[in-house]
Amino acid sequence: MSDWAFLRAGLVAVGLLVVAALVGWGVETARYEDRGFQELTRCLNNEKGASIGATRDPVARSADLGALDTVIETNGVTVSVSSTPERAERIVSSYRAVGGELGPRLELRGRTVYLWERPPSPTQRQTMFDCTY
Amino acid sequence: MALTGRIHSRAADLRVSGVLLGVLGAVAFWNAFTYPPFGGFDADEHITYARSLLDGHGLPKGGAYYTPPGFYALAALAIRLGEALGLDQPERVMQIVNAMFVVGSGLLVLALTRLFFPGRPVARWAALGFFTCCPVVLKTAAMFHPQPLAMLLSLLAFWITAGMIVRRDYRLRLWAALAPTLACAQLVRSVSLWVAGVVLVTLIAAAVAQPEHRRQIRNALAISALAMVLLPLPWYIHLQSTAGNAVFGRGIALTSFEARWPKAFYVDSGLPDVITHPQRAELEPRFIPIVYAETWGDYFGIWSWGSPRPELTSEVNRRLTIQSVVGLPLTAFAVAGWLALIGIAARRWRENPARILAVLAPLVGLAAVLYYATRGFRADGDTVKALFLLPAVPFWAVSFGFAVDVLVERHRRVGVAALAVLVPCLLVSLAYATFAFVS
Repeated sequence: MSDWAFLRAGLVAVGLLVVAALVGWGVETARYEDRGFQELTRCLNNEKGASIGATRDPVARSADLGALDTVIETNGVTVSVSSTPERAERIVSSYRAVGGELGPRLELRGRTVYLWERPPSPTQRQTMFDCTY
Repeated sequence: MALTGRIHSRAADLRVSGVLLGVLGAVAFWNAFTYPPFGGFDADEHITYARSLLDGHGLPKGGAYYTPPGFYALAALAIRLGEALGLDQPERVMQIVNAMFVVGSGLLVLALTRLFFPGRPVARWAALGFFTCCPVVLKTAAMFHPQPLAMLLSLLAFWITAGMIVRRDYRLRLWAALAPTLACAQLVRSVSLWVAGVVLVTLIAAAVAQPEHRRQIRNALAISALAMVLLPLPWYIHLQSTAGNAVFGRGIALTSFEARWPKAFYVDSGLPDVITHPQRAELEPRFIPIVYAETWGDYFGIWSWGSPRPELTSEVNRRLTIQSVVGLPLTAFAVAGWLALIGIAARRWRENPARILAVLAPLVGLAAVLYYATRGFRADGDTVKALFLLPAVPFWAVSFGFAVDVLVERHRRVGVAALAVLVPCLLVSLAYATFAFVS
């Protein structure tokens, strides 16, 4: 066999590796399930011991991954989780359209939006950030 | 025919090789003068180690205490020279010395490729071109870091080994050069252990393929192996007695099979982020994606972004993306050439057993880095660094050179078309690896 025959086989093998990587990416994308909201619920329940309830807030419920009500150190908060930061920004815009300037009660972190009953303390904010995925 | 004749002329070889080495030297020295001494990986630890030796405090108790002292002894002398010269940053002298090490390594890439593929100048030029333009080589050379010296010593050992096998010359003086070189490499970085392993296996293969030299190789190899173990032995004993681990020197189990990485760490291709966001802020720590992103770009933020350099803006990310894109054809050719060399070594290894070096070095080097990453779990992927693979990069360059040469030889037009893609990719990478370009 000539060097060319070996190189041709090498190039074919590299092509197959590239195809395998692309197929793997495709399969992973097709099977991907965003567990951001489930992880948030699990964390609040198991790690923070917070009680969780379904929210009746229509803006929060428009978040595509999910929303909930909980209480952190006597301060109630509605949390909504979107699949992307851009969708989360739309939730924030909706809140502002309905409630005006909400100040520190309304907070966006990545793709998660928090609407607090009262301005949160640093420890309350930290508790929620610990459970942000 | 006239073109072929010109390519194979000695004058053309000297001109092209000289230009490539000149470019390598110019960029390496430029980087050494412009890249901040404290800018590289763990630079403060490396400088503290060298200063500890310089000030007579001996081996440090913390920081990079687990790294052998070979490089730091040299770095201490370099710092003293820098102080004597009145430099504001005397550590810069060691960066300049590292630039010299990389130019020396470039010369050895040429010499090694000539031994593997005699009479094939295109393979040599392409190999040196790849080595010159590979960002991981120039980035590491710019730093105050022991890895360029480890690469030089490893390459020297590989070159001596290949020369002995190709020329069937096993005189004592060559063994007397090989054994201390491998011992010194271990006294610079313990990662050089795998280099010694590859050299030993290749020489054993040579003993099988060249029965007329079998006895000579066997006797000299036994004595050399003993020297390779005995010379760095005091260091390993020191590390075992002070840190409880003779090789890693810290809490890394040598034989445990427990791995804290998820399965995805080993198999995930990192697509699409390895192309669109090849940096640690967005690309999850996965083995191949980090090695790839660090080889062609800057995953950890020590070159073109990250404090005190520019922030990771979308513009910086775009430049990293370009690096990931131009790295694709270069990597594809290098891997294809390496796979071809595996096939050739498997079928015709007796013809030139030295080529086993080119087959084993990238494989064992990659396995060693994977082993280290598996044992030394760090959630941010800090134990996966492409610079650990530096002694194997010359063989990716050799594989690349081989692939280009075979293609140009066999299909001139296809080869020229491939070069029209590969050469701009190399130039874009060279620009990225020139520090002033991104600072």
